[in-house]
Amino acid sequence: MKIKWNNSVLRMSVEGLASLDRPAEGLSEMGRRPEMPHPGGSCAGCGECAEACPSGAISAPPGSWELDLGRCIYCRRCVRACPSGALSLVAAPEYAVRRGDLVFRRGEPTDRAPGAVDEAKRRAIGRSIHVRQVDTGSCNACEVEIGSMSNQFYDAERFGIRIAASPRHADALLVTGPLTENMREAFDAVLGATPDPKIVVAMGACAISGGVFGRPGMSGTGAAAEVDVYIPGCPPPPGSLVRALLGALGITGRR
Amino acid sequence: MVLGGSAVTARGSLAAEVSERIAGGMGLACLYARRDGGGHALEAIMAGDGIERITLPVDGGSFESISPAVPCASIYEREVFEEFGLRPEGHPDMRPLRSRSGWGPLEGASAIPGNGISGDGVFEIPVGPIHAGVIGPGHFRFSVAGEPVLAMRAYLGYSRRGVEKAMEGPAGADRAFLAERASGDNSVAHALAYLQTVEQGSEIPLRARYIRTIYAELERACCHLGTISGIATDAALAVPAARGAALRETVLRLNERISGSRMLRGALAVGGVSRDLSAESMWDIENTVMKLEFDVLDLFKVIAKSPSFMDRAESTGRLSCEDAEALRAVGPVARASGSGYDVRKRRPYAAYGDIALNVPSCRGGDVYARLSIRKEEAMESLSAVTQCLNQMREGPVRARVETEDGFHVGVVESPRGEALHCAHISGGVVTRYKIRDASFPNWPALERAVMGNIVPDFPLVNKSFDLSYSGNDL
Repeated sequence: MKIKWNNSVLRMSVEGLASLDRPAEGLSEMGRRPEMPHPGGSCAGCGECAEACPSGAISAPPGSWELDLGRCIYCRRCVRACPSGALSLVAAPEYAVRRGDLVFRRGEPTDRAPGAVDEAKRRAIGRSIHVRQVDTGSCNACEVEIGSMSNQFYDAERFGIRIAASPRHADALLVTGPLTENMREAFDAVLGATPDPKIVVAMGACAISGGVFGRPGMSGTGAAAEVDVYIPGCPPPPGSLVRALLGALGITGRR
Repeated sequence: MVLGGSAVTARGSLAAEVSERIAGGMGLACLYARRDGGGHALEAIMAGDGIERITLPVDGGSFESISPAVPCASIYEREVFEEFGLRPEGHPDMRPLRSRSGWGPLEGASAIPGNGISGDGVFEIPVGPIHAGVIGPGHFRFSVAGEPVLAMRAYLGYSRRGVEKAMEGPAGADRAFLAERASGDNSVAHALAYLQTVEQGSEIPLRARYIRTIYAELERACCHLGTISGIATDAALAVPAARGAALRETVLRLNERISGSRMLRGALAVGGVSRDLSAESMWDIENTVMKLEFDVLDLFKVIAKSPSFMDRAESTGRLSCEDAEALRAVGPVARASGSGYDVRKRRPYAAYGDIALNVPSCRGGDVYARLSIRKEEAMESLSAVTQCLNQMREGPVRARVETEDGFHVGVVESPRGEALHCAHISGGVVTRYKIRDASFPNWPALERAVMGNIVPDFPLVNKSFDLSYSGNDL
C-alpha cells in the first residue's frame, strides 16, 4: 500500500496534533485563574515589596500592608523581592463592582464575593451583552486579549457576549487605557452615543487607575465616567474577561 | 553584539551630513531633539552596518529643515516641533502630528486641516478616532471621488501617554516593564531594545541570549499569525480567520506555560532572563512549534487557494519600492516592497549571529505580498526557535552589568520592523529617552499605499500593514 505523506496524514499520525479541532472550553476551565500576593504570618513589614512594585500597587507603611489590585500589573516582582518569603500567591478576584473591593489589606480575608451590577441595569440588559470596545490610550495588549475572547477556545459569543461595531448598538463600553488627554473629547462623545442604561467596564490596570502610566490628569476611566465593573489585570486574560462580564451581569447561574 | 557606534557633530548642514550617509548605504533611523545645556541639540541616528549619531546644536527656536532633501525626516521634524517648539524652517508639510489640544474632530469645526482637495463630486470622509473593530484610536481623512481614494491622511496621537518621559530618571531603576508597554504585542522586542541601552554591550551569558531569541521569535510568530488572521477577517474569509486566531492562541498559551505571561512580560531581565527554561518547557516549545509549522502552511494554502481572496489581495494597497525607500519604511512592510533590511541580519544581537536565518523579500508591494512575507517570516521564526533549542547548552542565564553615563542605543527587529531606543545618561540619570517604534516611519507609507484604492479596501490594506497606534503615539 502506498501512503501519501501529506500534511493530513502526518496530522492524524501524531496524537493530539490537530490543535485546531478542539471544541471551545467550558466557562470554568478557560485559561488560568489570576493570582495575587498576600502576606502571611512571617511578614516582618520590611516594605521591600512596596519598594519593588513598579506600579505603586503595594503600600507598606510600618504596621500595615495594602495591595490595590486596580494598579497591579501581575509582574510578581514583590514575591521575588520578599526576603522572608512571606508573600504567597492566593486566588485573586476576576472583577469587582466597587473600586474598594480591589483593595486588600493584611489580615483581611481575600475571598470576597464580587457581586453584580445593580438589579435595574441587569434586568434591562438581560441575558446577552453587546460590547463596544473603546481604547483610551492602551498599549494594545488589552485589545489582543479582547480579540482572543472571540477565538474558538473561548468563543465568547456562545455566552451572548458580542462585539458591537458602534456605541449606538452597545449595552456596555469596554474601556481600555489610562484615558489620555487626546482621547477625552472622543470618550465623552462615545458615552453620549451609548444608549442608557449602559454598563461602563474599566478593563485593565490603566483603565482602573492609570496603571503604570498613572499620574494626575491620567487616572483611568473613572475620571470621566461612572464605572460599573472593574476587571483588573495587565492585561486581564480572555477567560477572566468572559467570566467577569457574565458574573457582573448576573448571567452566570441565572436560570 | 556591536552597538553604540560612532558619534560626530554636524559641521554645517545636517542635510548634507545625512544625505552623504544615505548615499553611502545608511538610513535615517531616527531624528529627535533633547535639551542640551541652555539650548537644544538635534540627534540624527543613522543605521547601516553600524550605528552613527550626528549631533547638531540648535541655538534659538528654529533649525533648517532637512525634509526637502530627506523625505523620511518629515515626521521626525514635525515631532521635534511639537515636543520642543523648535521650528524646522522650510518644512514642506507642517500638519500637526500628535497634538490635539483645541482640536475637535468630532465637532466638525475641527482644527484638523482638510486635505485641501476639491472639485466636482470630491468629498472628504472623516473616520475615527473610535473604530468599528477592536483596535487602537486614530483619525483618518479620506478624500474620495466616488469610491477611489484620492488621498488619505492619518492623524494619530490619541494614545499619547508619555512613555518616553516616564522612562527618564535614575539609570539604575529597571524600567523594562514600561518598555514592554510601549506597544503591548511587541513587549519582548521593546524590552530587548531597552535592555541593550542598559547592558551597553556587556557580555550576556550565551544561554540567556538563546532564550531571548526564542522569546523574540515566538512573539514574532504570534504577531504575524494575528495579522494573517486579521487579513482573512477583513477579506471576509471566516474559516481561515478563525484558524489563524486559534493558532495565535496556541502561541499565547505556550508563552504562558513557559514564562507565566501570555505576552512574555517580565520574561527578560537586566543581564539575561528572569528564569531559565526547564527541560519540560523546552520540550513543550519544540512540540508546539512542530505542530504550528504544519498548521501555518495549511492555513496559508487555504487562504491563497481562495479566488475571491486573491482577487481582493493582489494589486491592492500597493506600496512602490521607490516610496518604501524614500520614506524608509521598515519591517515586513518594506520587505514586501523590495527592501532586504533586517536588523537581525545586518547587526546581529542576542543569538542571531549563531543561527541560520533567511530574510524573505519580494517586490510586489500589495496586500498579498505583505501576507506572504508574514507567512514566510512566521515560518522562519519557528525554524529559528527550533535551532535555538537544538543549539543551546546548559549555563548561567544572568550576569551582572554596569550602566555607565553617555549615549546608548538599542536596536532590534521587532515583529513590525526596526525598533530603536536611545538613552542619554548623565550623572547616573537618564535625561532623555527616545523610543522609535517600527510603526512610526510606516504610517506615512500607509498613506501612500491607500491612494487609488477604494474605500472598502482600506481596512484590508491597513491590516496588511499591521501598524501599532500605541507604538506610534507613545
